[in-house]
Amino acid sequence: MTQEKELHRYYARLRTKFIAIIFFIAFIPLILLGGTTYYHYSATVKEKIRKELKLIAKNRKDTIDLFLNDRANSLSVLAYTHTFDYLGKKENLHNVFQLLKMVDSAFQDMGVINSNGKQVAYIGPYHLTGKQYSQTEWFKAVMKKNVYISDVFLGFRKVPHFIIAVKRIENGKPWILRTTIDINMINHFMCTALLGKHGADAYILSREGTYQISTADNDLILTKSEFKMPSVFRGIKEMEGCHGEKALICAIAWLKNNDWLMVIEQDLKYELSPMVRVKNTALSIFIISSLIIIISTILITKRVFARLEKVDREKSQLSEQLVRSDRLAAIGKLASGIAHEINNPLAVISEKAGWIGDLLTEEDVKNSPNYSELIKSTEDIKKHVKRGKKVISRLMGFARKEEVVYGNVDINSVLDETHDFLNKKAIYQNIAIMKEFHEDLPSIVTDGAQLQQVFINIVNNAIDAINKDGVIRLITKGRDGGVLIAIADTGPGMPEEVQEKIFNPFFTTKPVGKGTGLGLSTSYGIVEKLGGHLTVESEVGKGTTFYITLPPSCEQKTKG
Amino acid sequence: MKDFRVLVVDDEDDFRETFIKRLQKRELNVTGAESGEKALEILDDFIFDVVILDVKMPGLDGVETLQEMKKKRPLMEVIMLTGHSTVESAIDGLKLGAFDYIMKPADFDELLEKMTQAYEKKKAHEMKIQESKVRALQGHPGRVFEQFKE
Repeated sequence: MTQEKELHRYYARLRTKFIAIIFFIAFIPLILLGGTTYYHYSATVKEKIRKELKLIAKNRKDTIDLFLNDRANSLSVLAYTHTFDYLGKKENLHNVFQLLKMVDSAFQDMGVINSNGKQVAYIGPYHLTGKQYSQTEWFKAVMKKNVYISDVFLGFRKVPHFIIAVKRIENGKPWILRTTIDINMINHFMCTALLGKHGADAYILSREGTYQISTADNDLILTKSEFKMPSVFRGIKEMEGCHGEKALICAIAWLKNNDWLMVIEQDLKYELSPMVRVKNTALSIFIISSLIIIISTILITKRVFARLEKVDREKSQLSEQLVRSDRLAAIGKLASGIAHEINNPLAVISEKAGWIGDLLTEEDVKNSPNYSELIKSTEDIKKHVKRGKKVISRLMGFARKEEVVYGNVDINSVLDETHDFLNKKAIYQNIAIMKEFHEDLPSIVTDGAQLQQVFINIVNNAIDAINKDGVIRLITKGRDGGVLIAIADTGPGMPEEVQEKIFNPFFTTKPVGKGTGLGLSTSYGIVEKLGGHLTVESEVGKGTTFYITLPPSCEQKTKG
Repeated sequence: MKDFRVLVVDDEDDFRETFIKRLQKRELNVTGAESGEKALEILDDFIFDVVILDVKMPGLDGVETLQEMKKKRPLMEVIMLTGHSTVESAIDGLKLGAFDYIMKPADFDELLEKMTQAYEKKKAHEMKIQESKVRALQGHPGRVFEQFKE
């Protein structure tokens, strides 16, 4: 029994290992598959976003550069087709500006500034005529460069704007034609690019990193950006970064002769929302398949291991049975040898005692004072020789291969006889023998007389075990064409150590002289010989049950 | 009536001698033999009514000795003495014409009873033969001479 527990523990350990290995093997590809799929998918999506951003950036860069160039060119044309004197007159400037405005709404105002930096004429929404610009950045720049597009600044009007200024040298004296460009135009360009895109942002920074244009928030204009300014490059660059908690992808490009940096940002959170869906789906698939793997693995291994354990247990039981019947056969051989060897001395002892007894009838011995003692002693010797003879006879009964007499046997009627035979003895000890027979029991081919011996033996033991007040149940059932007989008593039961030995010859729990310890071993031998099995189940304090299974026919087995 | 001739064949000396003494005390005419061969030798010179024959002996065993004895003295009755492991041989002996078998260690009185029965059977057998011979002689007195030829 402890062996069985050990076996069980061994299988439990093995099962745990097995399950762990299966999980390991099953989950690794699952995780790899899910992981790589997710990684590649997200990489693809990011790539797509990146390309899109790049395209937009390229587009916007071209548009804005073109826009600025166009305005600068238009202004240059105006400056070179008109003289300072002509444009310096307000009506003329007004006419030209109106004409220009009809074709191009980007121009907000226009002014003519002489070489000293004084604005001699101005057309526009502000009153800037006569303003002195000689100290402004742009004035100094345009005097050097001929054409100048400024950064965004507040200027006299205190509104963010930028200007385009063109210098013309007329008769050796320079003058400047200047116009203000509506930053909303550029803003508009940027906005249209981002149309329909969630979480996207676009802005233009000056070389120093101040906001020139911002689609998101006009208040940001002219404030300092946290954007780390890159060095000058050609074309479009894209980069991934973080802004606070936001994961971003942005495309950047230098505009306006590398003066302005255009940044188009995409918050990945919005663009990756399909990714989140994919992630969720993948995750739920993962969880469901994990559950399926876990449940099926556990169930399957449980079943497989239960089966394995059962087979193993049956195997060990079988080998136990084999060992037992081998042992019984060996003991039987030994017993018959011993019996024969003891028989002869017993015969001699018996004859000698008889001879002494004969001699004691002689007259002279009769007169001896110890005569009665001598008589008693010879009688005792004879008595004990008889007892020895009896033991040997039973021992031989166990060892002898009694021939099996086959016949169609109705087990129920054999048990009926057993019942009748022992009922009186049982009633005397207040024990009820109950018959719980299966009515349509198949009759089987076996040896009824030898079975009777087995039944009587077991029931007798049961009566002895109960001693007083109890129940013995004789149960029969059909099984696989054969018969299962259970003989259950409500006796004190047996501990495991006793159960292991009860089929051994000479093992008895009865007092000395009461039992030979051969009853159950003989019964065991008979049942095995008839192709059946005799097993016992017992629990201390509850009782003992003997099970006898018999095949439909025992002939093939015994013949083989 | 009890005064019949007995041959005891057993290789166990103590048993055989004691057994013979006890039978002799009961006024039987008893002879002993320690082996089957010796018994057959004795049979050449003497006539016995009943033989007690141990089944298990070295040399010729009980069954073989029985067969030889029956050839020599068909009318002589034989009781087999057997141990537990040789019951089958004893049964073979019965088939070969032994009177009965008895298990060792035998109860003396039981054995004596069996011997008496055997002797009586033999006597009855002989009587029948005698009677038939007498009847034959009555029919054909001339045959009386044939008797002596035997």
